[in-house]
Order: sequence, then structure tokens, then C-alpha cells
Amino acid sequence: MIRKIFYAIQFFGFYLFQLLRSNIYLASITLSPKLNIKYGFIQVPLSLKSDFGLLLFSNLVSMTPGSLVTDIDSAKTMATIHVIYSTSEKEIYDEVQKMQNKIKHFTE
Amino acid sequence: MTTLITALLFLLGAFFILVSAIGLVRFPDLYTRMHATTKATSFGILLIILGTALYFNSNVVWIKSVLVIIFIYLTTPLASHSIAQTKKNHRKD
Repeated sequence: MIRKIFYAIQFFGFYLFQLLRSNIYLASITLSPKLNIKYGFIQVPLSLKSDFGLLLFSNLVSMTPGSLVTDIDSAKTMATIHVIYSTSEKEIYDEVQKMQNKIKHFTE
Repeated sequence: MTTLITALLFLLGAFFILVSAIGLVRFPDLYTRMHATTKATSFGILLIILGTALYFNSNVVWIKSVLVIIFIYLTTPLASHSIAQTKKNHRKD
């Protein structure tokens, strides 16, 4: 129980940090004179079981730099994520998997 | 000192809302526009509400502002999600 509370507080700090980073990134993209962005869809397999975990996960993904959950299918196995990226798609994929592990620590 | 901090928070919040409006005009696609409106507006509103809570600095105002921030952050991604769903179901053949 105490471990879960610790992980929840850690997750809250992580969420605030991501919020700051994503807004600075978005402002830098929006105000750049050349708008050279690449965008597309990514399919990510879901490993979370509970509905509360899924709510937290989609909230976090929508607030991280350059990604937005657009669809979760009815069997809760795949999430479709729309991505604005400047580096590579694989990096964002790994980041999303890491987030799911963080949430799993204190919801299950 | 507190008035200076609140003024700074208000200016930053207004700046982020302006960024989201510029993004709404400049981005090419529906989904990319939703990026701008989802992230930047909620962050700007968060900063403005923090400024008001710092200015009045009473318990009631702090509690109310924290509740408003939590409510906004729970509902903004939902709105963007449902817009994406309607776009997906409304495809013209």
C-alpha cells in the first residue's frame, strides 16, 4: 500500500514535468517560421487491464509532447495514437511502453 | 512581490492561449490542429487560475481552483478523443 502511494506521487511529478515539456515543444513548433513537421498514426498494443489505468494512460499520452490518443478499440487491446514527430517513430513507441509500466506499478 | 508573480502568470497563460490560436490557423490537418487546441489551451487556463489563487490567497479560493484545474484536465482529452471519433465515423466514400 505504501509502495503504491509512493509510485502515485512519483507519477504525479512525472505528469507535471511532461506537461511543461510538451507545451514548450508545441510553442517552439508553432512559432517556427518554417513548418516542417511529419505526422502520422501509430498502433500501440495495450497491456493495462483496469479502466482507471486506461483513463490515466490516455490522459498522460494526450499531454505528452506530440502525441494524442484518437481511438481505443472495443476489446481494449490496441490504441491508435496520432503523432507529430521530429526524430523517429520508434522512440515515441518505446516512450509509450515505458509509461504503461509506470502506471501498472500503482494500479495493479 | 505577489502582484508581480500574478502578472507574470497571467501573461504566460495568455501567451499559451495565443500559441494555440496561431497553431489552429497554421497547422495543415484536423489532427494536428487538435494537438494545439488540446495541450496549449488547458495549460494557459492552468496558469491563469494559479495566478488568481495566488492573488486572493485564501483557503476557499485555493480549494476551488485546484478542483477546477483537475476537472479541466480530466475533460479536455475526452473532448479531443470524441472529435477524432466523429471524424473517423463520418468518412465520405
